[in-house]
Amino acid sequence: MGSDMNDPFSNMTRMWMEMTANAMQAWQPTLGGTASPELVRKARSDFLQVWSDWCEELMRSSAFLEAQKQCMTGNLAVRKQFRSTLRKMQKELQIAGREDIDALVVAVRRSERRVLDQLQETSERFQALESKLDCLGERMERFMEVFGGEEDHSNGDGGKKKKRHELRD
Amino acid sequence: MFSGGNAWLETQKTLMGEWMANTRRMASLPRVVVQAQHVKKGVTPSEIVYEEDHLKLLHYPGNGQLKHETPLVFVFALVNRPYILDILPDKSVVAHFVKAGFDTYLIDWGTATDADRHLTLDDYINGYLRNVVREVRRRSGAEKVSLLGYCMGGTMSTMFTALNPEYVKNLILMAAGIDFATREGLINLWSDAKNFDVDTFVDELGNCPADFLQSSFLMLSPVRNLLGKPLSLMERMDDVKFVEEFLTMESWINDNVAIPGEVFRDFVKHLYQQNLLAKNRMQVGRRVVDLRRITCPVLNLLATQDTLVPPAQSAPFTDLIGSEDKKTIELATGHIGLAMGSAAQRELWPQAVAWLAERS
Repeated sequence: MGSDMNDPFSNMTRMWMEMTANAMQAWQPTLGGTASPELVRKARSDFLQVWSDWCEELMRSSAFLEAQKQCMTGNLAVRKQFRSTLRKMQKELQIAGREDIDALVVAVRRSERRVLDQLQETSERFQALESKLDCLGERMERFMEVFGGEEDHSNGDGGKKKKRHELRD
Repeated sequence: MFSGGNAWLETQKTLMGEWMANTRRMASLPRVVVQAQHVKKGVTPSEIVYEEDHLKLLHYPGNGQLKHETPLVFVFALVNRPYILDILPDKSVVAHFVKAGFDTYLIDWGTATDADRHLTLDDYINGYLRNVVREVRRRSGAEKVSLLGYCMGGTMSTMFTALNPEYVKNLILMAAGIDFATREGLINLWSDAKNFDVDTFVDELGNCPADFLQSSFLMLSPVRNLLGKPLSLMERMDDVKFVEEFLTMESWINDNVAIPGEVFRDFVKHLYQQNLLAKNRMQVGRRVVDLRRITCPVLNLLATQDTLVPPAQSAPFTDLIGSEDKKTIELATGHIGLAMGSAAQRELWPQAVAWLAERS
């Protein structure tokens, strides 16, 4: 009467009642008489399906998710506590532990990242330099064309002959 | 009275029949135990052509006659062993492609140890996978390769293709998670930020343990896994072929491996919780993965009954990429059925082979 449907307990009870009712329906054909093995297998399969659907609904419920989270948080907290105690012992005994190795790996990773950053920067500078050199090369060519043309013009046919000779070479 | 007697006789007959069948099944038990000790792991002849840390690159020479220029690389997930793709002679995805004359390779990521817990997706995608692709290109002389990624391997192949479109000619995805916005699957729901604190988990445990993964997968269908499967084995214990397939399958399912902690953190936080890949904001190393950069032909294979990677998670992929040549094939099966199911072997893989052959 007036049960709160948001209450996890009420929800679980409702889900369980529904599952039981469906499961009973699955077994109904086999009750009160002689059932063939096929009928029993079919009833079993239906029963498992009902149970499976119930599990699915249960595992999606907020109550289950909350319980799962609490369970995991609790386990991890216990583990953390245990490791913290172990760590203190390791420190006292001057033994390298996981945290030391982690710190070392993180330090190596940081150095690696710095080296990669430097390499990328150098590579970008090289690219910029290359494009500048290309531009310069083009300008030089254009300049040489203009300059060469003027020279040819001033030298007359001799200049042209000289350039063609150069091209042939 | 007479009909009652008949019914009684009928019941006795049925009971006797069932008792005989059970005796026959129980008599098969020693054979099942022997079979369980000789489960095969990979059937197509292969050779290791490249190794890096725990990674091994397997090459399938086939009969030596290649009919297609572009080599094919299978990219498997980090959570299980890759031999599911080549598990039995008549259920091998790899064999379909080898027989069709593809220069076929498969990446076995190996088993991550505690020392690998700092490896990130950047290490896997811009490191190992890039090196594998470089090696395959060097060996084959081809400019580009085709990638076939399964599950998490599909997600990684997608990221690689988006970051290096110049190296990938074709991309095939099998049940690959791309758009993680859906809460249809239980894994999606459980890994939601309000239900799972991945930072504390990884900080505390380092790698994501294989047992944790295995129990999570088991919990996706507890009744089927804990009751349905043993019952079906008991009922068909005298069927040699069924038992062989059952044991091979179960051996693979129970052969989980740990995921490097930082990869697990990347995957859960950036994909399951923040869905950055579908939003084109996923960062791998120094670069952001933009799915619109994928312009190569794409084949997306989905399993409509997949509980691990629901279709809603992989179907949107073709809408997010820049490719014009894209195709989706759906099959009414589960996550594993897509690789080794009879329907997949009969209908799906011949289609996938033909699709790739046209483009290689």
